Amino acid sequence: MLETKIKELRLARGMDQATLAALVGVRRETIGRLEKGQYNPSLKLAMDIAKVFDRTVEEVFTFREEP
Amino acid sequence: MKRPVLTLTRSKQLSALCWAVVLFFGALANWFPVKDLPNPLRTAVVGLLLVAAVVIILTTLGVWVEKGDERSAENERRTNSTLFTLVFLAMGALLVWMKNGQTLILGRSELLVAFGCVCLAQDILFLLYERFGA
Repeated sequence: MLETKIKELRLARGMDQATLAALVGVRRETIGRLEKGQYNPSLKLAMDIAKVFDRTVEEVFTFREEP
Repeated sequence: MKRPVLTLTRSKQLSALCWAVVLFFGALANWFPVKDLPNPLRTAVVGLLLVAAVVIILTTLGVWVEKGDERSAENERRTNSTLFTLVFLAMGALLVWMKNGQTLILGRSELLVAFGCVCLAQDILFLLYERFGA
């Protein structure tokens, strides 16, 4: 299961979903889905998001093994 | 940067609603032809259908609608794939149901209803994938 720190990083920067969405070229709803772990992003999108937060992809996204 | 007026989801919801309106009156016309309605009612129905047609055209062309992204492209692909499967199954069912020598004749109004059903199904499937898809 994909877990992300997008919401945490976004709020730390005082950024709303729409702004982040515009920065990485996706819809606001997609950011919402990503934050809830309900969408697996493409590698490019994952890298673009990590770049916005000045982090590595692994620091923003982690895969947790399902029990 | 000016934001678009409609989100993609909202435009699909509007499109689905308008197709439902067209289908409703298209089906109703079988029992209550528009030309036999009293003038005020006929004007209202025609007006509503014109508005629905304009909304369908605008949403299909993506006027004032936000640009799609990778997720909507994937959902669009899944929608079209599922829709093709459904149409394929419907045609198969029709082939099984029809007897030898039987012909299928579709008038203009029936064709509009059939086309409207496909378009409505496409919008609904897309919305379902957006809501429940991974």
